[in-house]
Amino acid sequence: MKTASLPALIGANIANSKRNFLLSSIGVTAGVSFLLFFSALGAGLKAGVEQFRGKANLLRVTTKAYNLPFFRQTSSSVITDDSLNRFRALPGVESVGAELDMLPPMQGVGRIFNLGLKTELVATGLDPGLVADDIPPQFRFAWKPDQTEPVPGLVSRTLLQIFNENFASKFPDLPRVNPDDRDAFVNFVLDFDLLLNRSFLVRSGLDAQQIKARVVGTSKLAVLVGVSFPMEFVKHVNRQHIIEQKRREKLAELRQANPDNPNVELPADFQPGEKDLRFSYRNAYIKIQNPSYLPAITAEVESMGLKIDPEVAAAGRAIDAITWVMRGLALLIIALAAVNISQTFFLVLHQRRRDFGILRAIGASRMDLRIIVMGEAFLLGLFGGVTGALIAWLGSRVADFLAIPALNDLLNRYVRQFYGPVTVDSLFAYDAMLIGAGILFAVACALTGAFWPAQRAAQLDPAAALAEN
Amino acid sequence: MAFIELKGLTREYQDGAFARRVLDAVDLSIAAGEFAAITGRSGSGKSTLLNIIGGLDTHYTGEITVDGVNLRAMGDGKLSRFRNHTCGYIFQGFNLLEHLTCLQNVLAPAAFSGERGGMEARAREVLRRVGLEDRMNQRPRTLSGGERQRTAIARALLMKPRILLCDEPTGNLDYGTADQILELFQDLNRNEDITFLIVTHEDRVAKLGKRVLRLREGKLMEEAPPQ
Repeated sequence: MKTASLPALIGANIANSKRNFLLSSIGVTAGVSFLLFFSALGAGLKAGVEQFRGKANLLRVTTKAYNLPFFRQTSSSVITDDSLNRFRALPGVESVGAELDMLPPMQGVGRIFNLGLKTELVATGLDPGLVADDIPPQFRFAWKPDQTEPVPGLVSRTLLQIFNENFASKFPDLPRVNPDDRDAFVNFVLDFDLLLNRSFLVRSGLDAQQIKARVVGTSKLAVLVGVSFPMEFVKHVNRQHIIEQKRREKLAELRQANPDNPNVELPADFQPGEKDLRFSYRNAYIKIQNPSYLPAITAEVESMGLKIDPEVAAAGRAIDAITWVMRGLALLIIALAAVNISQTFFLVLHQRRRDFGILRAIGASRMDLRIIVMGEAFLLGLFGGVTGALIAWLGSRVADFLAIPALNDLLNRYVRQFYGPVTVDSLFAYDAMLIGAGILFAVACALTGAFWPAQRAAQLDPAAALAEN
Repeated sequence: MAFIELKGLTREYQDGAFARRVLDAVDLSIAAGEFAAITGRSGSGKSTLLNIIGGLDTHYTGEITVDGVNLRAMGDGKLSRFRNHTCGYIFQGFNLLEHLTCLQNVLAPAAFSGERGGMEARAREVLRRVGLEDRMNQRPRTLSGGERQRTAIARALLMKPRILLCDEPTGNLDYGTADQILELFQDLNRNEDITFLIVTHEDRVAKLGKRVLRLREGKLMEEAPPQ
């Protein structure tokens, strides 16, 4: 203390009780480092999610708010041809396509090398424009009613990765198929029969239909466990399926109405209503000119009761929820630190009664004593906050060092197909506001802890404190 | 007009269910620049009287004015300023802040004075005045009793007080050192016109006082200085 000032006196007091000061600041330091570490992690992960979202120029519109096993929420809104036309009219939209579920149950029957395979299949229809880049020039992803060649199909790249890692790696006879190679199925012919209205799981009641099909390529838009076909083919199959189903329903209805006439027939001109043949799509895909249109398009789509990439939003919400839980824990640690500070200050106050009596004797007012105690708490909080921020930052660097290589490897395996090559530099996003808020919080906590001790110090009877000598 | 004036000053301490009256309707007038000794047996209320005059103890009845200002009318802020600017305290046990150096102890009152600049030079000057220019950066525990008391005196002198309230200032000092301190007091009284109120039970200290006041059973009585 060279100059005669309260801050200098406060500094000298702290220098005198370094041990208490350091012990009291441990809780604040731990709390703030925890708070900043997880806040920065949450912000970093969210920024990462947003970055992927911002990179995507193909948006998936769906009716589902989220879709988890046992936990599916569906919206009352549906995606129809009218919805697709509305999307096409939005500014910044380059093209719009849709994905349609194939209605009849089906099985796939085929051979991969010497391995005979019969499996339950899920199939969807995709607008050819959506997957034009995935089709090798030797093939066409289209279908006409009079077509004699096998129906072209696309498989998911993720499915191929699963196949490579789980099957091809275990059976040396099975080939590995590079999911990133557009021409993977040019030389490796994968033909199979599609058995419509046949299933291991459900009884269709309709006549089986066998259709030749061929895998022509891979696509990130292909259904995960199954095959995606040209939209016109799926619409045709669905239309036939609905007509047949409606015919059977109508016939059953007529027979019920005419129990005495076992030969009752459907009228020759029977057709299902137009409404029955109107499709609602599983997903729509909107190709946007650039990501700057994303907010406006998102708002418009959401106003229709639909969602854009709900998994991304759900991931953001999950990150938020986990971040808040961690912040809650950090706040608890800081609150406990405040209690600890309070107890330490009461203890220190007891030890320094004589000093406070002396200060009162030489002219300190009650307010001066409050300022001294609160000033010491302020420095303690500042020290804890800055140290906590530093520890959080160092912890982040260590976590990045350990996690980033593995994360980038993971992203390049599974996420690259959706968003192109992605590299993450850090899991954490620190900004001045976050660090400042953490330090401010530490200071506020220390001041809160010291408030009552400061009041007690101010109320001390100086004559009594000096008489205790 | 009296510089310090006490009228009907009464102070009681609560002792369980009983109230013990330490000062009982004390009247006193001290002129500016006076050197007064207050004597009495232990527990007679000497220190209490000093604390009340210095504004440290406010639990009294009666009136006390210093330089025409009624201490009771002052709030804590003004009373603290009065202690800081007008009074200097010197205690038997020195009451230095052990974690501060000699210079820092002397400078401590300036932290509450609101005055900026020049205080460090003033602190060095008063330390020189009490003969501690070569001890400025030492901590109290490394000083002798006399040096500690001189540090306390320097601290009391920093803000140029008009009153020095000394509570048994030589009680912990050997004979020779005590004489040096008393000489310093007389010098300050003579040359800087500081009013001295010294609580003591030593005749040789009381002898220095132009007035000797004895507290007995709460009453203050004037006595002739011992010969």
